[in-house]
Amino acid sequence: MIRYLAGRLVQIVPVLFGVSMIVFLLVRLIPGDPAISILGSRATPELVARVRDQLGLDLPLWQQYLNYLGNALRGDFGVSFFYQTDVSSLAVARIPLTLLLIGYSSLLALVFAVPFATLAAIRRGGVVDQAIRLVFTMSLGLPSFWLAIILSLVLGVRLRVFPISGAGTGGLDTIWHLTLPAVAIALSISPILVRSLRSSLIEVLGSDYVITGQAAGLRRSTLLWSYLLRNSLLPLVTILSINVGWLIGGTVIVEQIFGLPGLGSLLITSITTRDYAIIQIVTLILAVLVIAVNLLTDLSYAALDPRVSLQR
Amino acid sequence: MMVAMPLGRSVPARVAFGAWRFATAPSWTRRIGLIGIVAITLLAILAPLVSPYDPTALNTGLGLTPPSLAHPFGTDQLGRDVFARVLYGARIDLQIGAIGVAIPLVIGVIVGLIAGYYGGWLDVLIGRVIDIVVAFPFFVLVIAIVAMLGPGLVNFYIAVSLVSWVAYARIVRGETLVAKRREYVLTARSLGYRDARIMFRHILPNVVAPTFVFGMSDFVLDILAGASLGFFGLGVPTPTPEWGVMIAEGRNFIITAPWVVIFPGLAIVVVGFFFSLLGDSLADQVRRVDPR
Amino acid sequence: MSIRASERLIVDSLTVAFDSGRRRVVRDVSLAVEPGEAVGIVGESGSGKSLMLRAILGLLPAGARLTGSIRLGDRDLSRLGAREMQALRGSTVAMVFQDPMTALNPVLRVGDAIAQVVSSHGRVSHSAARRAAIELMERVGIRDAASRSRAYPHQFSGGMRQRIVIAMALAARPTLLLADEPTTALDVIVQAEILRLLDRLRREEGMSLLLVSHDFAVVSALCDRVGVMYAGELVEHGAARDVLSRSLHPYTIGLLESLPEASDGGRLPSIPGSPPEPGDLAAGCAFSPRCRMAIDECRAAPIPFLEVTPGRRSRCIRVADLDVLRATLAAEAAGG
Repeated sequence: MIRYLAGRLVQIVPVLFGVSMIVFLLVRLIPGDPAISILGSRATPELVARVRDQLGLDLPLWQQYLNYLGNALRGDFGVSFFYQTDVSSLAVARIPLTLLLIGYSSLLALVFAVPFATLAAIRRGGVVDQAIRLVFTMSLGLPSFWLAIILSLVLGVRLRVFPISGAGTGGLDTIWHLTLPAVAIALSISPILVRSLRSSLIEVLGSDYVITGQAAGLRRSTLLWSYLLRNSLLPLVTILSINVGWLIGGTVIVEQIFGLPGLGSLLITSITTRDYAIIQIVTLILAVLVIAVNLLTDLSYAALDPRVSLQR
Repeated sequence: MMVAMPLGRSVPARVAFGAWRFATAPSWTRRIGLIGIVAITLLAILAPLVSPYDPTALNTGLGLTPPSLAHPFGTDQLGRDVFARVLYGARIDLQIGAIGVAIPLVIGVIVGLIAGYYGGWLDVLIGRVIDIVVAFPFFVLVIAIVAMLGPGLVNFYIAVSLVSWVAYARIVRGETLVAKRREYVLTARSLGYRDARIMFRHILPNVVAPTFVFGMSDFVLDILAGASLGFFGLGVPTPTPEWGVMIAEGRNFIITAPWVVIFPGLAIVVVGFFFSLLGDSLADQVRRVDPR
Repeated sequence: MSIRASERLIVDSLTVAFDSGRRRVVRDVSLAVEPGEAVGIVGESGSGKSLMLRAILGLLPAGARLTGSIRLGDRDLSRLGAREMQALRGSTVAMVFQDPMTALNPVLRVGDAIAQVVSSHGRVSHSAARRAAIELMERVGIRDAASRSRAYPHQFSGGMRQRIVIAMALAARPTLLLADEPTTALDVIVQAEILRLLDRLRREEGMSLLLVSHDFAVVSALCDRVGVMYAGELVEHGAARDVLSRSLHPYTIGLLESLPEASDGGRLPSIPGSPPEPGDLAAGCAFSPRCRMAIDECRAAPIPFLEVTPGRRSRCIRVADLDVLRATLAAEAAGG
């Protein structure tokens, strides 16, 4: 198990380097002189020269990257011109809220998707299954921002059930504030979850060992838990892990709409202010988050599937 | 479906043949999906003829009127007919989907073919690049690139092309790895055909089907991304109608005039629905033909 | 000693069809298994033999339509409800499956899997069930059963896994055991071991056995009576010895001649052609397109399953002329 974990960690290192390289290269995409772009209307030749020097823009590319990497490893990701503080403390402070929102939405998405997928799989081919598939195929195209707006209109403004902006004052109040956003994200991602989960469940239901279990006259509850659910956990975890990128994308959008002080809204507001350092670090953090989730998924395979953990 | 055809016919002919077989096969999902898409595409193309009003014509006196016979989708805050704007918006959003799929598909297929066919260090390198790009959430990377390049549709296409090709490359690489051991490839190689010819005339038609399946859902995802960007003001400039932009503009009036926001959103959902149906039936077809 | 005496199984005119009745995969099959008897069914894949077993257990795939009756003792299994069938499965009728590699739940320890069968059929404590599981594992020949019961299926070889499948089948002391190609997926040496095990257990428990296989050797090793199935129906039936030594149907003769053991080192004859599709059956004898002895009468109308001598049935109207066929085939095998 430890060896497995160590092996996976080693595999991740080159990916992390690659990710940092892409994040580094992002700024090079800026047409024209990045320094002028950053300074905007405040650009004067002296300021431009100073910014260029600060960012090391006149050095050869590989040297710039090494500097970037060196700074990054020391936790220095540059300074935000807009906020006038270092970018890493800005971003790191916002991580908890975004993580909370992601976790909350995943939970809600599961609570919503699992029953429908199970129902559809068990009653495969029937009316219930067709209806579920139809509804969730239709909702594949639901834009999360649209959903968020409508939800905040109906449940927030009209019915005044939930607050529609801000993150509240911590603890339960924050959870209360995060509910509408989490619902919006969960609903936008559940179509893909239901469809994938349904397929996996159908596969498990058709397995030979399920027939063995039925033939042995096992009780329904035993079949459901030990045979169906235990073997569906693995595909479920896989599906969640594959879709974490979409989950994060939805989070970014929804945070902005509901005015939540998380990484996503930071990213979007920084676009208009041309705060490239923030854009870089948020992109980096979110990519690292995806990598971490994938790693966790692999580890959970080891826990869930005896064929993995007991490999020599 | 495509494997059964003789080795001699040209690639475009085979693709056309396959498309025809596909379009005329009996299946309700396929029919509804195709009809829906064709209908929407026609409406979009013929928008200037079909639309009752000019989508950018201001008529502030008629601002925010609810749906009526004269204005089936109502008017927005500047008196513009929402139905007309939705129709014209289809031109932009369908284009977003089409180009957002076409360019990455071509790039990804070529890269995947090369990686799978040649193998070795090239494949390892490409594999690593794919692993790295895939680590970024799609929307986050796209929006970051657009943030750097500047707003606008062209920059959006550049961003999507830089990010989306990996999914297609992965699919094609996997299929190519299997295909290159098949008899028809071994035969072609023994006949001394050049690599490029083998890759593009022989392997390509047999590995490309799953990319079309994926392309259907990618189409929808691209529209969603494009509309999201439009919503945040990073897409087309006003007054060009685009569904995401329309939703953003109408947001402030959602309480008094919800139709300004509802109809463009519904349009996105409807397009997504038809493409998903088509994608599903295509997936079934591909699965049936190729039971490995 | 088994708690209940085994009952007689009577399958009467069983038909299993798909596609709203258009594809009949099991056609009007009737057979009986006396208490304590071992009956074998020989047939190629696609002959419907596996589906027949699944029909007895009530585990047919979706879309299957069943007509006819399946009586075990005085119960008609085809008319029982889901709960009653669940109670019967494992405790009265049990099945051993073909592929041991996929037949076991990969996330359960084998001891737990067997114990679950025990506890599903009676009020037993956890520890009692686990003890019973270990005993069963010992009975099926797994050494070190106590510690091996904590292992997972993937840690066993194919032959061992099949023993565990057998243990699961026997866990609730059934009186009728169904076996679907129980040794096909195993290699030859292991096959013999498993067959010996099945035979021994059957006699010890006094169970009836209905065994299905494409392999004559397997069937004749274990069974008193044999039926031959082709395209969903029985074409021959009788005591195993008789069917093997003097078959009464061209298909059986062809099958036996194509066995490696039958040839004297000459060419292996095989029956030309392939079995028909279930939706695509000829009007008369299903085997007639491939049969050397076929005459017009064979193709005209469905052939009844007639009793040629007491205990011997055949679905061939040219039973009397089969010596000719045997001679021809023997000559070919020797000469070719």
